[in-house]
Amino acid sequence: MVASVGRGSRRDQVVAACLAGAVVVVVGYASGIGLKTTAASSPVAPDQPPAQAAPAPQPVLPNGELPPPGAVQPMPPMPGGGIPPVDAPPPAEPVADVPSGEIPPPTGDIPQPTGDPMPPAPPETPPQTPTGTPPPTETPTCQPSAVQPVLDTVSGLPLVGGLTTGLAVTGPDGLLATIIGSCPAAPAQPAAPPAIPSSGG
Amino acid sequence: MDLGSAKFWYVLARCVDYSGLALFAGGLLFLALLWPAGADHRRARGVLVTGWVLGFAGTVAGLGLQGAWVTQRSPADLLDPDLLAQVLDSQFGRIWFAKALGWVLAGVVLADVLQRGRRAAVSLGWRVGAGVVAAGLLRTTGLTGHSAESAHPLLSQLADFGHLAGICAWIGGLAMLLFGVLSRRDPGELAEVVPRYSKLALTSVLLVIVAGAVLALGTLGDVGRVFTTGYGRILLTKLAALAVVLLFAQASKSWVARRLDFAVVLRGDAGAVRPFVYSVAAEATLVVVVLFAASLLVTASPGR
Repeated sequence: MVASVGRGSRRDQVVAACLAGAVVVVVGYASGIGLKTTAASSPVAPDQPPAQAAPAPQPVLPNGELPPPGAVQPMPPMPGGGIPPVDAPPPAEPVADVPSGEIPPPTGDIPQPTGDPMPPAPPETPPQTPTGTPPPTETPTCQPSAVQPVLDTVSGLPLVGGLTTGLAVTGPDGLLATIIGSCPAAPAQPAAPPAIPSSGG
Repeated sequence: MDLGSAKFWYVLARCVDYSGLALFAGGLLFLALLWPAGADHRRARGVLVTGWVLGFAGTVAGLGLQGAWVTQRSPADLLDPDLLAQVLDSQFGRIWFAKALGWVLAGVVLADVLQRGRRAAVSLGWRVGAGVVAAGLLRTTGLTGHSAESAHPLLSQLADFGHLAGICAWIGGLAMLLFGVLSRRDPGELAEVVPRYSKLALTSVLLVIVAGAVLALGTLGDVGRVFTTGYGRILLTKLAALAVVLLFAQASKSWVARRLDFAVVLRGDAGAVRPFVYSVAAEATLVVVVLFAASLLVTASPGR
């Protein structure tokens, strides 16, 4: 009886210790500690400083252009990763579902589409466009599935990411990449649709 | 706000997430500190399970709905793989993905207490595990607030953590009291648990008010902005709802001070306990309004 109680207590302690370790890893990951910047992630560094330390973001329309003066501007970034939703400015030309322009990374939780808009960006400010050269239109582009970002995210986890990569489970040459395929990491990303900024908590 | 808009559904998801967190974390605290025997009772377990389901569902739905809101798409697209891929690539997505993992870990704590009941609730290992998981959930929730924007981020984030912890202890305990303790009207439990919870609720409310004041000052920067910004007006609405809730809380506290002994002597007579049940039920219902206002606040710009 005493022995079984002792075993139960020890089991509790082991489970509690494992939970504590897992929570530390998860919260550390959420805080951006030890996060590896992978080629698949967006060009904005994960530890981007909060909005108040950053220069005023350049509002960009979904098609990558600056909005005209007087147009509704997206709100500045706010903590939590929210993004200022562009209040549907009329595009100059038909645009795809996903905007190709990069929205500045918010650091706040959530944006506010209306009220207190940012002042319009100076007209001479160039729009933020990807630095890479767009591929020829006839070149087929690699379309990663929804699994790919999850794998990238797992690879980015501290400890867990190192373990899975070390065991060749994830990563470009890993077992999962072999099975489900993967998109090669390009040095300069083509006009991808990063509608959600990768930073901006 | 358009009821069909992604923003509305996103705010709703945040509200569901907050409710789940409050029920789960507050329920765990209630069982661990005030009423371990409740872990054997179906309704008390139901509060925990409801909290876990709401929290997990609100977190997962919030991921997709935030993306739908940002990209101006329909809320029905919340499970679109492309959209989710973009959200997961953002800082918000990273934090909320971590939070979803936190809910999975919380499932271990929940499964243990469902399996072992009171034996789990009194064991040190379970209490430590539950405390760590709850703290992790509170922290990841706080990472997506306005506190990081403050001029004193460390103070604001500590206040944010305290604010969330106080809310959870208060609201989760309220739900446990209403659905677990008061539904049974066991005189022994009434005499033992209700006074303890009354003290915990008082401490929690004080913590919520102090931490909330620090947060509001840090976020707005100036008291005058309460009246001049949309964020301030939502905050005023939240405070007004909170004031009404506190009136009912005061009524409950008075009942505990003056009528609890009488109700215990009457062996938990339904008529004697009914006024207390009504005031606690009113508190619990109105708290939902406060949580919805809080969900609106995190989606509003402080306008600094």
